Amino acid sequence: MSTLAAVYTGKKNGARIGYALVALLLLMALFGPWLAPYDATLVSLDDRLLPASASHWLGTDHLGRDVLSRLIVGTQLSLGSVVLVLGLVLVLGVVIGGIAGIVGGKVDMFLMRLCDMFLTFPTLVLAFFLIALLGTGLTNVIIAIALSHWAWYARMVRGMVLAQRNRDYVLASRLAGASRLTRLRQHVMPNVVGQLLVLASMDIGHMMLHVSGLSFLGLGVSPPTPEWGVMINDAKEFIWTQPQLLLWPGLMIFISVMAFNLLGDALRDRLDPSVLAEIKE
Amino acid sequence: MSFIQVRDLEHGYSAGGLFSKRHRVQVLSGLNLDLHEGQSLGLLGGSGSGKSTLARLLMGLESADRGSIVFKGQPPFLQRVQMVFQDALSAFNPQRSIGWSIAEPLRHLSDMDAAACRDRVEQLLQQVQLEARDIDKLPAQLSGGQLQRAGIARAMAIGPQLIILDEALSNLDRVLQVQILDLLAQVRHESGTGFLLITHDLSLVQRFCQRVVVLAEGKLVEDLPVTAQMRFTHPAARTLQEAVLPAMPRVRTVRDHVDARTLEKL
Repeated sequence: MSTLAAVYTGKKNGARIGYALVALLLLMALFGPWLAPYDATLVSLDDRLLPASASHWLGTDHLGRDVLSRLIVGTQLSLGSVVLVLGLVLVLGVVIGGIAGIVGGKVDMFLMRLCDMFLTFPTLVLAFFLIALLGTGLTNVIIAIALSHWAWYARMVRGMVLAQRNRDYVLASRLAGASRLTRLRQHVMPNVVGQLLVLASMDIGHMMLHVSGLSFLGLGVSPPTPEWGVMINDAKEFIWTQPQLLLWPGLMIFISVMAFNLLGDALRDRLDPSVLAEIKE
Repeated sequence: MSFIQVRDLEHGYSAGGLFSKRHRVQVLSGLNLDLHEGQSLGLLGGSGSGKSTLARLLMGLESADRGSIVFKGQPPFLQRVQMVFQDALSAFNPQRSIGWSIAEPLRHLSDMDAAACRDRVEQLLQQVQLEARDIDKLPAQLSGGQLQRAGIARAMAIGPQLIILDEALSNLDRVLQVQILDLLAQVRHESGTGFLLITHDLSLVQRFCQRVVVLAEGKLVEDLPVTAQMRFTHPAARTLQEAVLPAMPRVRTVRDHVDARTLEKL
């Protein structure tokens, strides 16, 4: 097997693992309450801090709740909030960056200075500030994280639109009589969105850490609702006696971040035409 | 009869910005040019002489500061002029098939339906000596020469009156250049399309064009019919002519390296 072929086999395996893990996570997020063996919020003080056993596969936490059930049910909130954040960020980024890149001139100038204002602060500090303004709670955390991240995306989209707009094939399309809107729809946006999806899927992990981090600090999801960040927060008092309580939700975050990074890699190979042509041959 | 008349054309761009004073760079000044139907005209000029600006004005992508361009009594519009680009790979959308891109002018500028478009694209591919199965390939799956042919096919799709080749052959090797020029000569013969070959390589002009003009500092400084013995008189044009390498390298002698006076002393 040649080195190149080996690289592709490796890539394919990586992509398969990525797809499989993301599918599994989605399944857990959609059907969590039905898949979980126990009620994730049921407190049973008699069963506190039990070790792993046949009845409780991953043991129980300090209130006697089943850890596995909490992990499975928590997927919905952990993933769902990230998807919402990402959706908001993408919409804001594409709309604002797109308008800046397409319209140009003073509008571009104004929107980019607005971006600069948001980019001046570290994302986490800005998120804290926004939460202080909006108040705690998951919805506000989602809004705060989205508002502290959109400027990066707007900048990237603007850059991509500008780069695409001056490409020869867009000019060729203009010579072929395509209207401004058609050129945007058929040439500029598909090439921008492809690249953007790849970046976004790589960023899912990063945002997941943000949401979990804020929940860990008690700003997002509040107990007893199962969420991985909250679970880590709950378990931190038992770090010396029951370290596995921190390990399991941490592992879930680790696996999700990795899964979405693998997915991002696979998407890049799928959407990058030059790589596509090589594989086809 | 001339079907394009360019009269007293002037055009420039503003340059400078934050750290330098804004000023105007005059690219074309007082340019007059007549283009005859079905003629292939070579447009020669060094870098920055205004060749590409003239092409953009002819295609109607920009409007001139002063002067006029008239196509048989009308201002330029896209359907009459098409262009083949220098970098063939970047002239095709990487996500779309070759066939889709070639059919683009047909979709926007003609009322053909999908089936008719496909027939026409297949016919065009055959005309530029590409295979019918290339229609569904992505740009990255074709070689540079094949892509340039596809670019020509796209330019020919709606049967324009003028095709502008903006350094379209510069990235190809000699053999491919000759093949494509012969192909274009055939197209001109069959369809009567006019060609404007923008280049800095005089040998391509000599092979393909009937007439040659030289652009220097925004003005036409030479306008000659192409013959084997043609000689330019303007210094800028002479420089271009002297830059053409001979077909066969000459054997160098000592005399080439040492000037006559040194030889006399010896």
